[in-house]
Amino acid sequence: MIQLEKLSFQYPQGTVVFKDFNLKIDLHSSWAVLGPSGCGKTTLLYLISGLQRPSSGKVIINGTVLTHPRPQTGLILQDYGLLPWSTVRQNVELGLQIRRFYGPDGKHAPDKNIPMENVDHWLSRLGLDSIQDNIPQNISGGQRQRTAIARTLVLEPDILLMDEPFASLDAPTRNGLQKLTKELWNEQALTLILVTHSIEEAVLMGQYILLLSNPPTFEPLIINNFESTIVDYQDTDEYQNRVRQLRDMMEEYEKK
Amino acid sequence: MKKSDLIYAILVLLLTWQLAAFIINRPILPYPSEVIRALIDETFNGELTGHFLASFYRVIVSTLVAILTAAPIGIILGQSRRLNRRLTPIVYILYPVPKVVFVPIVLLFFGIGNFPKIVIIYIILFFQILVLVRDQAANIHPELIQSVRSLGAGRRALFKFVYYPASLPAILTALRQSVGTAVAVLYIAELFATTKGLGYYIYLNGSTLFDFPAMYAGIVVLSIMGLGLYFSVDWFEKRYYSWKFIR
Repeated sequence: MIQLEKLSFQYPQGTVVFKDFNLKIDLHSSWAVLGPSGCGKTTLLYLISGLQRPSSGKVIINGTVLTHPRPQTGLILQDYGLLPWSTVRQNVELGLQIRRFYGPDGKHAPDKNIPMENVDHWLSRLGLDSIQDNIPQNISGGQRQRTAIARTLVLEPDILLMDEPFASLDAPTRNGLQKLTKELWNEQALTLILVTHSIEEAVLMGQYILLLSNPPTFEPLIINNFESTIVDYQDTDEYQNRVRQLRDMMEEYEKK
Repeated sequence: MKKSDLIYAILVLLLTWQLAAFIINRPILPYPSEVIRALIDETFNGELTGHFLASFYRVIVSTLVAILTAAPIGIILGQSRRLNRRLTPIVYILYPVPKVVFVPIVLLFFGIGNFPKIVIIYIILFFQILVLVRDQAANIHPELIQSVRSLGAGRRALFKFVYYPASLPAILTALRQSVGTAVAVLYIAELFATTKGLGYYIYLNGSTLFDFPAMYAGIVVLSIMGLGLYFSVDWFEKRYYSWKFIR
């Protein structure tokens, strides 16, 4: 379980984005974080990843207070996350190389040894076999995101954080990757937290939708959306209704 | 550059030289054939090889030390805004100062031998590499650093997997830009307080012994050394990074 306890965060410039913010995220649930730009969506993700430290309060993951990035938490960003000078395969291997580089110092190394064969498995599972020797600039945006996903899943994470992962992709590629992400979420028993500015994507991806508005945020506004796990959810009336409901809520929310 | 281009360029230059020597018709500009003869003679029977090795050693050592010191400092400056704010004004003022003018001072400080020559070339390369690497390191996308950190990378792993490969192109660009300068400065540094090196050799034959073919042989060797360094950087660049952008 991920717990945010009395979490506050303030940018160095002084803007307070979260103030005494509490949130509980169950294992193997899927969350979409929705809100306008500047509402602190990405900051929330960075706080949960451990890359950023809260000004006060705690992030607790499975009972342990987070003090640095946790190897079992995967983070996928919209762009620029891949090493431009390394091939697809080298990028997918990166996490394991970093482990090896550190050795068993206990600080960053995981408890278990992950075999290199994992790399082959994920390369082929995500259809990257044929392009594994290409560098990121020579593959499509969708393939780049698949590479980023493979790189994360190689490390056998339990939490997957995604920051607008599909925003720069064309519609068919986006649909394919959304579907793939849901499959992987289910199959790998992941806890998924996906940040997006698209209402449709939030409704499609999250069992829970966390709605953020202009900062600072004190109380979470959570919309239950359990139907998101239905096959072909986006073709149902419930989906359409939920999108409409959310759009109204966001307009209402912004008026305040 | 293709091999045929290289041969073409050399032929054109040799022909121009030949023609110029024919028109001027004085000992101060000998024919290419005379110079090549002197080059062979000086290499096998004279001391040209020794002078070449002395110069080559000075350039290589100063270049290596410059890379090993300037690149890490450049990376640190590029990544630490606070340090960069403190040091940038100083670098900014020192960067355009023509360091060649310090040759006599460096010689006075460090005396004769290899050390002062290495120091002076080092100073020039150091600033070139520092500035380029710093700018490149400052341009690394924060997203890239964050996502590699999220995989569990600490400072050492970040250096190995991100900062070092990201800075390599800047180091190579700096080297490419400064090879010419380094060789020119080498020549000037070798005019003083030494009896070894191509600079000394060229000056001795041109101004004291008036052995013009030998002097030109020295110039040819110095040029070949510069070209060789330039081609090495090119080769290294093609071999080790085929990607063209860092964003």
